[in-house]
Amino acid sequence: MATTATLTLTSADIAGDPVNVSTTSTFTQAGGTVDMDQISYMKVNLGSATDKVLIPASHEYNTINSNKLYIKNLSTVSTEYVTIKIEGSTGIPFGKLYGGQWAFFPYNQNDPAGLIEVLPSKAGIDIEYIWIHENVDILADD
Amino acid sequence: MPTTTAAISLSSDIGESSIAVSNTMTLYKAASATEGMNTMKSVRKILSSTYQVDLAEYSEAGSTGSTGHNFLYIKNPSTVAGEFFRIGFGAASTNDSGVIVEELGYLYAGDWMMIPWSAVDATYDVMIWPSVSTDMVVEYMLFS
Repeated sequence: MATTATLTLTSADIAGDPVNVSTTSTFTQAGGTVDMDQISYMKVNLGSATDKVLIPASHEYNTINSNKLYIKNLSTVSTEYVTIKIEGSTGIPFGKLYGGQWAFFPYNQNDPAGLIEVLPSKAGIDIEYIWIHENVDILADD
Repeated sequence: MPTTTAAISLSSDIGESSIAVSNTMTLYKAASATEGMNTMKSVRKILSSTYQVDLAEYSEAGSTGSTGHNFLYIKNPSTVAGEFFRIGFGAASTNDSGVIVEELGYLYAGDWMMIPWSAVDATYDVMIWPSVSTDMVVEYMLFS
């Protein structure tokens, strides 16, 4: 069992010489060699242009883990964007994904309110996301 | 205008049905479908303490403020499984008195990440916190 992600960055003209970076990661649970063992794959319409919680709150927050999150803005309109935010004590809207753009990053909910949220620039934007996570007690109790 | 592309190929057989996703994006400036990001900064740093420090200050970004739009690639090239960087956003700092306002996650040995970065102001610096003080190397590329 394995989960891998390869990134290829290329540009023929952003520098005097071509840029070509390729890297592959095989994801394991924190600090070891055990494969990641849980995954969630969603395509959703974000509905209204208000904050949406992407990953449900966990009562296992602030645990050391190797969880990863992939998000893509499925819009084909270059001006339509989704703001990615970490909620929490202050809330940090750290970046925007415009139509067709994606992000991939580690995500550890480090405090009870530190949720990943997305804020669409208009109603009706579709996104897809993949959450790769390890065997924490990830679902909040009812 | 330069053209830079970033392609991801993600595959997993965690579930009974395997998942394979491949996507390529062009690094355009904010809200553009024609104007590519036209500056790049490629850095390799050696961090020799476990202090939390700025990896990239917001002022390094070519696009800042409420409409800021840059892309940031970070890699932990360590081959020691237990070595990680904590990545977050916060205020400028040169030592452990800095404040990670919000932590994003743990970047373990061999892991990489690629994020859009608004670089709105000094509270949006990208901060890093090595797990060990024995000369951990980090690599990053900033496109603006």
